[in-house]
Amino acid sequence: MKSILENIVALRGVHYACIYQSGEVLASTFPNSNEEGISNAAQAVEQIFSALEAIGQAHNEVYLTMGEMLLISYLFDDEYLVMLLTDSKINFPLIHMGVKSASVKIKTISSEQAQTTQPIPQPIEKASPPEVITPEIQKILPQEVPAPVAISLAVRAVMDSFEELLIDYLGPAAVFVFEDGVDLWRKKYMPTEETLINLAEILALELNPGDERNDFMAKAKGYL
Amino acid sequence: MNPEMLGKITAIKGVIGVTLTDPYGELLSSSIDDEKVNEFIAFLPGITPVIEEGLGLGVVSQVMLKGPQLDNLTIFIDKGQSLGVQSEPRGSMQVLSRQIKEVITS
Repeated sequence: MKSILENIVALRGVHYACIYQSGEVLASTFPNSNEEGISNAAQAVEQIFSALEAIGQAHNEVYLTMGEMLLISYLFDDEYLVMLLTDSKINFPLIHMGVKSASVKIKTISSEQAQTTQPIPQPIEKASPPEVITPEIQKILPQEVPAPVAISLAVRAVMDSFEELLIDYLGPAAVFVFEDGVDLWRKKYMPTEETLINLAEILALELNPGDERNDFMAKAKGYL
Repeated sequence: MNPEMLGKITAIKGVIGVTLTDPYGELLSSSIDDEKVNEFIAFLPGITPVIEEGLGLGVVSQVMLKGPQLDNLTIFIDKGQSLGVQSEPRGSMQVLSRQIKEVITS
């Protein structure tokens, strides 16, 4: 997770970042000397989101101004916070998209750690070798490292449709979100027509919950 | 903050309503109808000292909150009074914040 945070901190104007969940800082680039203070601050931010939830408001971004610094916190899936300390003058859409994109990876790691993910399909079993292995046959036997699974033209066509659909919601930034989503999809699933629905679900997580997400899924299913 | 200032802030394009509270969270004035939102605005200045203490970067003077398909909330925190502003989600919170600060400091 720290490498994900380091990518966020690489964005201009971002000084430190951390991920917080259920009373625990999961990863942080903040100085170790103030670990307890960061944890307390994150807990207070979590209370702000809890208070909002209690009054039926689903705000998921909070920006606190302290002098020339900003503490920005994003709540994802009502579960974990990504907290950034930044300059007060920053490119908000850039930071927002950077964190949103990273959230997909964070969610994956977080869910893997909680062992709640669906089982990852095992690599395709190697074909049984012939009983008599001659040196010529040995040369053409599958190697230990499986070759990447090729994506069929039919699957690629649907993927292209998903990407175009995503652009309707996120604009040009959709290209990056789509690439990240495909990377995640290929890590978790075999890239086949049957698992395209899983790709759609991964991409939908980047959209606002509710109508926007449902609308995207309905349209995406139309391509399947 | 006087009624004239509150009127000017309310008149800014995109502003839906404003709420003024004292340091103890008591409502001094409000044009926000949703009582729960007012309660939240009164609650917020009470919790920011924890963040100030944790980070050691000074006083939290402003809090902005955004959410999908929700009105934005901006709370200006002062030792004397705090001002909560509910605004339309499509507007820039940064621009609105500057406009409000201009009124407050004028």
